[in-house]
Amino acid sequence: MKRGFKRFLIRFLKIVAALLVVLGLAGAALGAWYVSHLSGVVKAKFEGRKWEFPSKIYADSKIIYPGMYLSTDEVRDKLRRLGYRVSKARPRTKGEYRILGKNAVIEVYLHDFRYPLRDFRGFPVRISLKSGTIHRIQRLDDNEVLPSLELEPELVTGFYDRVREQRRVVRLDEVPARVRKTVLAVEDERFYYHRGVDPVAVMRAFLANVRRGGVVQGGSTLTQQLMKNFFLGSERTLERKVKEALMALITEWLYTKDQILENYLNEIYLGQNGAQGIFGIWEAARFYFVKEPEQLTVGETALLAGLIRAPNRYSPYRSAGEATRRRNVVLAKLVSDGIITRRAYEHALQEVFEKREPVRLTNSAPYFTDYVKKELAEHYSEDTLTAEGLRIFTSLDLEIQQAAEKALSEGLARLEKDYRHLRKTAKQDDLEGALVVIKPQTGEIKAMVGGRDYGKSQFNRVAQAKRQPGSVFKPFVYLAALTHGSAQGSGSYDSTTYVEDTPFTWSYGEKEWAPQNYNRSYEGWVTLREAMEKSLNAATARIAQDVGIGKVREMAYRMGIQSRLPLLPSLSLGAVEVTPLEMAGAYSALANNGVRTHLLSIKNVLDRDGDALEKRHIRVKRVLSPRVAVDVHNMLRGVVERGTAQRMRALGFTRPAAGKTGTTNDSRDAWFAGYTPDLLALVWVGFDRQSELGLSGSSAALPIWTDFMKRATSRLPVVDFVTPPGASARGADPRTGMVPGPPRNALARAVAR
Amino acid sequence: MTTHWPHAAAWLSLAALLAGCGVPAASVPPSRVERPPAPRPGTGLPTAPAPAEPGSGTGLSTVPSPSPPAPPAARVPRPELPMYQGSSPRRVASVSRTERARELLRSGQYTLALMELERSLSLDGSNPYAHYYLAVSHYRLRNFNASLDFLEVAEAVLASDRPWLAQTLVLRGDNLRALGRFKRARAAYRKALTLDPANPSAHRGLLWARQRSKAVSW
Repeated sequence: MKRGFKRFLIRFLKIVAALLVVLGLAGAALGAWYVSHLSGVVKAKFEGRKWEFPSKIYADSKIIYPGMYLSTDEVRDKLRRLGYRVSKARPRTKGEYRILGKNAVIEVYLHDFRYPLRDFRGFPVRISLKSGTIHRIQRLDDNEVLPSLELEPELVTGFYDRVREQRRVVRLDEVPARVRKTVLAVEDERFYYHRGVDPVAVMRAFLANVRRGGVVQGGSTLTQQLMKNFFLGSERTLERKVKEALMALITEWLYTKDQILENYLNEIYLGQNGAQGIFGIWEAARFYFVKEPEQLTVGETALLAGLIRAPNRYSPYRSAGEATRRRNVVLAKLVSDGIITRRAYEHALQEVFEKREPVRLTNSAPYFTDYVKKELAEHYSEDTLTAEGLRIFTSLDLEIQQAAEKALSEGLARLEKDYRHLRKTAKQDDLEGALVVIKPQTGEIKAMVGGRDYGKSQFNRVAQAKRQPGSVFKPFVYLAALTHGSAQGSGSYDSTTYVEDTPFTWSYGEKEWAPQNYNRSYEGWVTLREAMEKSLNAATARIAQDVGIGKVREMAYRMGIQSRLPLLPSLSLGAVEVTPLEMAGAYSALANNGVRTHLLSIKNVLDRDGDALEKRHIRVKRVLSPRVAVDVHNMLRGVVERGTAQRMRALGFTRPAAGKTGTTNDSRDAWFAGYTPDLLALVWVGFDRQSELGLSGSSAALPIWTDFMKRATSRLPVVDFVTPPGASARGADPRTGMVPGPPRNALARAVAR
Repeated sequence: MTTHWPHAAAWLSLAALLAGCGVPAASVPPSRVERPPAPRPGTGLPTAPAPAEPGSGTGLSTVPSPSPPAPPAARVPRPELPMYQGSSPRRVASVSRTERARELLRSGQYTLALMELERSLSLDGSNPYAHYYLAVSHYRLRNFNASLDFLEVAEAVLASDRPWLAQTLVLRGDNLRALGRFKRARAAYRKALTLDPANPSAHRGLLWARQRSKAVSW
């Protein structure tokens, strides 16, 4: 029995041993497979795309020059938005500025900036002001007096996917040794002495936690933290900890300490700026101190490293007191570890965190950036735009954009206040508007406001809304007349040619069309100039009939209208649908002596390394003879001085200007397209669902245009339009463009008699 | 993290790997270390590769053989022509940028010159010299049609300045010649000579266009 039991026991033990061996082998195989799997995961991350870099949209750079109107407040605002910080002494490092002597002198140490095709190296410069204008711009390093100075472009927004991460990746050798040492001292002082998991740190943390009866200390190494950030969540489970440890060990096996540290310094989360997370040492140095890592002081470096534990709690933007306490803890650690001297420690303790507000990156031109994105989408995928870190330089002028936003929102609110019926309608259909601003000589889109409130409606009424332009279309009829003359053989036209403004019927095919004037009153015989100034429908339709509607359509296309235009008589009065943007583009030729410019929003696209992917240049095309362009331009000046837009002067805009009002027959759309020598702006007012507006272009759109132009041109010198030599009508008054003397066509002479 | 794994396997792997802890990582053999590709250095002044200048050096890059004499536009046309600075501070600033662009053109940096001129025009849209030098830049970059477009503007605004107008006509001739429109090129050079009979570029251009025209007809 005993022998039998013994034999049984031996056999049993053998079986158990065999089972254990099998299990052990299976476990080892499984473990090996798992390690290999995790190695694959780690390798894929380290060697693939680790982060997504949103593409960044920049506004146009600003050029300042002696003689330019500029107040200290404007410079201060601009520098603040560009991330410059105030300095009490003369600026010694890039990104500092100070204002001296009752605001008369501004000293700035300019940032470096990588422009398309050139790297700009920042230098110190002094801008002296006198009576609200720039008196002199002088470099402080070599005393060279500069004829102009370009301030780097402002960042408008980024194209984000789901995650809104702000991060600039730097190489390890771009991070100063002091910053590296401080981070390691705080987060993982035995970094160079462990292999991913540090049993000493784990034991120390365990004991500390037992002693305090809760979790007060962590034993994670920097590599483990990196694994957690790269692959795992922040859940506190044993499973996650084991996996984190495993991956850390694998990572240390596969990669060098420097590679791991570099990734850590770029990956680490360091705070929040509105909706955007701040990641990496470079971005954090920029966000908290407006400096690059090599410019940080000992105290700032200590705080930056201290922030890693709880970025939002210790943020100096949130609480200077908490931030200072945390910094002091780190400084004490640094001095006890011998990383800084006692003297440096004492000095760093004296550093005070200046009370500052973070520069919030709020997209101040959302319709414009949508428009840019749409243009880019023709050449770049969504993934490229949100992850490849392209830098897109645009034509946007943020100051003009701000003026446009304000003028439109205040103007629409004013209309609702003044006209009760607009408020009633607004319950079902919101009163909306659009404003676009172009530099006529270059075609650059300087501002774009596609609606009243981007938060409520992202529909861009500048580029997407097809609306009837009404009388804003009329200049094309006059251009066709001056260019081609009569198709019926009754001669050529000029601004003094007489036309009949009386009711008539235009028969075409089997149909008839009877144009009527806005207020049903007719002027009889009028010159072309008067017909344009008073926006007379019947006279304009007669001209179109005489010239041929085909010629009118051809002229509209030539000027840049891209929408399909039906060949109908009502085309002459703008009974077609076009977008405000194409109409503004077409007017640029009138503002530019007959030269049409292609609209330009994107100027350059660079990849993340700064190499140019795309350059778009100013393109011009002469579409009108200078004389015809100047003739119609002079008529449009008459519209402002004596015609339907003369209210502009009553509203206080006194600079040279030209333009045309537009109101559709059913009063659903109100327009004003107008320009000064420097800027062309077009305003549209109406309802999205085509409710009746009941207001003319002069009442609804012109006040908004005037308000905008008053704001946008207030800092520009008053200049008059430049007429090319020989382009004016013979004997014309250069100021008004009017030709003295008797009427010039036979019909007119007959009328005059 | 989407990876799922069996607990036992993880524990086994951890136990196996922990055995290697506490050893300085420097002992890891370099053969097992893989480095990610180094990022591109962020400095330097990259310039777009300058294409062969139309009319520069041997000068015959734009028109197929037979080789005519060197064309006139090998240099920045008439750099001695002064640009009117004007009394407006904005014009002064704009013209100073045009001047800088003229230097860039002289040093062969055509794309940079083009960008500088666009800034100049953006600053002062009525600066006639910016239009003219934009035409020069486009010509150098072999965008002959774009060059002609800018010349249309430059000719209109420089119409009252005979030497400058002559110069725009010479450049028009150069562009037309590069496009193979010799008859119109000759007309442009002739018109330039009526405005500025001593214009050496116009003389050279006319001579060249005549020879080229003969060569083509022959």
